[in-house]
Amino acid sequence: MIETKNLTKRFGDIVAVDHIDAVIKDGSVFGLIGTNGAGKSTFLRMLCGVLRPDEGQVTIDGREIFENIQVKSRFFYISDDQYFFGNATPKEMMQFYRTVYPEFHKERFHKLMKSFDLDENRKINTFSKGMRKQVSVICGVCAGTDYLFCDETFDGLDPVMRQTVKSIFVGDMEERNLTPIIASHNLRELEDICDHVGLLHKGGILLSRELDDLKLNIHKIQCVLAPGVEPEGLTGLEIVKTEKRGSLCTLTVRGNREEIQSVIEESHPVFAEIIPLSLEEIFISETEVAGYDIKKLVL
Amino acid sequence: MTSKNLCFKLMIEDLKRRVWTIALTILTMVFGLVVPAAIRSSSYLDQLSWRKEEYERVRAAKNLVNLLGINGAVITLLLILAVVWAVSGFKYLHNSRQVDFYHSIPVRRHQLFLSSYLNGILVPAVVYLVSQIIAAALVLRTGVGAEMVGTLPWTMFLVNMVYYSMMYTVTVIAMMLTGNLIVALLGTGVFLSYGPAVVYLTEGYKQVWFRTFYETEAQMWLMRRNICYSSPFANYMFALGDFSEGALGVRRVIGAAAVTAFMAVFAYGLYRIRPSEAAGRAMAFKKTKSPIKILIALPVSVVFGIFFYGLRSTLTWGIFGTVCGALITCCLMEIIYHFDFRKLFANWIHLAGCCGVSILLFLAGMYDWYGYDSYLPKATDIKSAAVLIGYTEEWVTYGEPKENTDYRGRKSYGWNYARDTEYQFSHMELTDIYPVMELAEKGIAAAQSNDPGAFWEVTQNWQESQRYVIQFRLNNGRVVNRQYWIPIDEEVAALRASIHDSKEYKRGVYPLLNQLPQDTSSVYFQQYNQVTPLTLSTDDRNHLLALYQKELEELTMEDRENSLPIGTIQFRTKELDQAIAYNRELDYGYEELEGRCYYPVYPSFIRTIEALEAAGVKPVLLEEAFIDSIMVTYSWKIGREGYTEPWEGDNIVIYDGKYDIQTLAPALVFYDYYNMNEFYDRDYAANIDVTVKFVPGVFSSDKRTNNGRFYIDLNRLSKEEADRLMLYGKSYD
Repeated sequence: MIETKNLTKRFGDIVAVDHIDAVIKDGSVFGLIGTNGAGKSTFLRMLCGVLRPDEGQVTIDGREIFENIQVKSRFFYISDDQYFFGNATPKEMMQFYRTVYPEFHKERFHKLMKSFDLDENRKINTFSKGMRKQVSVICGVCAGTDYLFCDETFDGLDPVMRQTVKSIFVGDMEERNLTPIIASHNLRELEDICDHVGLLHKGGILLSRELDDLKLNIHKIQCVLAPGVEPEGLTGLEIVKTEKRGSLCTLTVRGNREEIQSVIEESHPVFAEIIPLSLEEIFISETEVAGYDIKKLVL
Repeated sequence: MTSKNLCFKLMIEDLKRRVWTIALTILTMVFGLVVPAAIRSSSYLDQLSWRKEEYERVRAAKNLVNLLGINGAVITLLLILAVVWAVSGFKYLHNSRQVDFYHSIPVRRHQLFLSSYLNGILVPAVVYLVSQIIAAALVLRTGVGAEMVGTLPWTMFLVNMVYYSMMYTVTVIAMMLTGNLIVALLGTGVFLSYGPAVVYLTEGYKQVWFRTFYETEAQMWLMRRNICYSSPFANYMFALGDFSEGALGVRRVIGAAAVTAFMAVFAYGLYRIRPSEAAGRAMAFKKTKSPIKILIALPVSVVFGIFFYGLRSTLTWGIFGTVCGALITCCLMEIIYHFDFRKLFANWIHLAGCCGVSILLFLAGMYDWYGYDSYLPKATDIKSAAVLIGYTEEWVTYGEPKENTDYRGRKSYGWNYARDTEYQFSHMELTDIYPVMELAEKGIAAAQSNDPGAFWEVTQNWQESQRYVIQFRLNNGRVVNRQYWIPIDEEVAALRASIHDSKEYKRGVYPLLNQLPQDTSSVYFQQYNQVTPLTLSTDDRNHLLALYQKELEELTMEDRENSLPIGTIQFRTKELDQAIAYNRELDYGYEELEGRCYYPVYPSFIRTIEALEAAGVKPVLLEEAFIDSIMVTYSWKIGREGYTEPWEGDNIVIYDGKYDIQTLAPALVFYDYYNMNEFYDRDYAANIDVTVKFVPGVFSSDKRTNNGRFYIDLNRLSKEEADRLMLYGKSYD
């Protein structure tokens, strides 16, 4: 389990990460979302021991990360713009990683390279951005670490590759309890993989919650209410947002699905349907409540 | 995986990424050492075929072997390689992508540091060693004996590698302290040059502002030592100098290695605490910014102040220069720190502080706020003193014969010069300090009377003033040295005479007065280049020495102001005689020794002259009858406008007519005698060189013609004659 307490990092006058308390449980996918400059990369760089926190601490299973080799050997960090040695080939990078990650899975590396249709002996600097991302992901999953820190890793991957990578992550989670921590500004690409999300804004964490909890606690209802019934008249509903187009109402309501369903049915609507909320919609709702102009925060 | 194994593997991985650096190292060593060794070995073999003399062959062999010793090309290449290896090893610290990569992998930072650091020393060491072995083998293959090569290649290898490591570590430290390659290279330059620059600046500051500052040999030695220890590069150069003289001690090399080890630990410490986010910034540590800026800005502003003051010699220009120096340096540093031109005034408090301190330093120097120039010890605190009067005793020879070995391996004697001031300060013990103090007071007054803005005039008008160097030895062991330029008036002349006439002064100035009879082996008398050996018994020689010493001790300023020597005398020590005899055997370099240690015989040395006459030598005054002709070489003349102009056409005139000789003879002053007595008041013709050809047999031991170089004293010539002969005094010069 990764835990941060009061984690703070400043760059001069700028507070990049501002007293963040967070817990990342093993075996789940943690999505770290936020706009550019929200502090996602800084948070990840502290998580992987590159940066030393100015305040607070970050631990894995209670052990400090900075300069702790035993702990650092449990994760692999894929940065936003992963570095490869000059003129190096994927094979040479693999050889280097094998030096520092004793659990590196060589056969799997060859297999994945082949399945991704990447030439192991071609210079990486001749690869496209997406191909370089693929190489870094392959190296990351083959490193055999418990945690995989991915900074904007899906950015640059085509949809097929994105799904492929996600399936590899899922497979590794099942097989060896891998915990991917994925930082991204794109909520849609995290939606189908994240178990837990943390929203960063201006260095602070707005919320950190299980995705299912979020989804269970907020719902969208499309309905045509009985004549003379107005959404405001539906007592017992915590309506977050109301949109009306003619007689069709779209309500975003916080609360238990069954209780909401019961209240709606009691009003005898002409038509009513509960439809799923996207992660983006959930965050818009949640953060608007928190007083943030979410439209400026997320895509 | 054990730590050692991992470190070794990281070193291998590091080398894989630095193949180009290895290739460059091999290339430079091959072309800097191996190829020259092959070429020079081949050349040496060619030389053997036509160099028949053994000494020539030995010399050629030594030249060849020297390639393995101090080799300028190898040293230069090693210095460049030190920078290249340090930069290539730690450049990843200046790139945030690479820092993220290296610092996120499960490797301790000390292992990362060690793998890069050690590669930067071991690889060049191995390449250099192999090259040195190949070069030594090539040299030995020519037939040069192993005894001639000796341990030179391996000693030089060790010395060079120790200093290579030092330079390399300095660059590594610069890489640690910065986040940008250009700034790191500038930092390396600062580390290597800052110390000597500040030492020289301090020296310059003292020379410019402490008007009475006098630097003794000990202080000069101290400055040299400070330069040596103020920079790794300077230390390396001094070490090479010592090595070439065979004076490089093991302790020094071990000391350099120890300092390198300490710097390596320091570099590692910096690496550990270096924030990863420093990549790309100018400076890695915020706390180092201000001290570095101030440490550079202050000396630069002082230099600027002195420079502009030197141009116009006014307070305004001095302050202008000082402020400019501080402004330019502070702004430049801020631009570099922020990589943003608009940030040039980012820290105006520092800028104002630097300007303020530099102006204070300037004003303190200009107006002697230190009280340096006005300092005079209390009479009760002074134990003794020494005074050097102008440059009046520069004719005295200090030192002793010294055995030399030339390139042929031949032994001979030369002259080992001793520093005149060193001798004078160590032998002069003036206990009557009151004239000295009065003289010093005059000097202080002269220094203070000059407008600070007119400082340069003091040195420019040196001809009207006379330089006095005074050393006070205080009861507490402290030594105070001052130099004054004092205008000569009656009071000063009296004080000068009082000091000059004392026996302590003479004993401090003339080594002959400390020469013992038992050390004296022969006596020679010289007049107008004619040297006459005196045949004397030991008692007579000792008697003559004692007489001369007494009369020289009693020589007064009045005597020197009113007369010139009529001859010179030499009391050779046994050591000097032996050296001359040895060189005569070789027929090499004896004349240089024979001319040493002559002392003047003034007309007032009556008892010495009597003793000389008793020994068969009669000093005579120059008469026209002795002169065959006078050759005058003109260099300039006074034109119609009254200004000097170069002499055009034939500028050599030989005066051999009776009238001309009669006219000029009384004004002739022998060059050597003139130089021995600068107190003698005369106005010599400055636009000519005069060579007198004596009548054959006169001032010559055989019938050959003797020549002598002379001056013409215009005081002894009528104005009309001087004008006729176009002779002009130094006032026109």
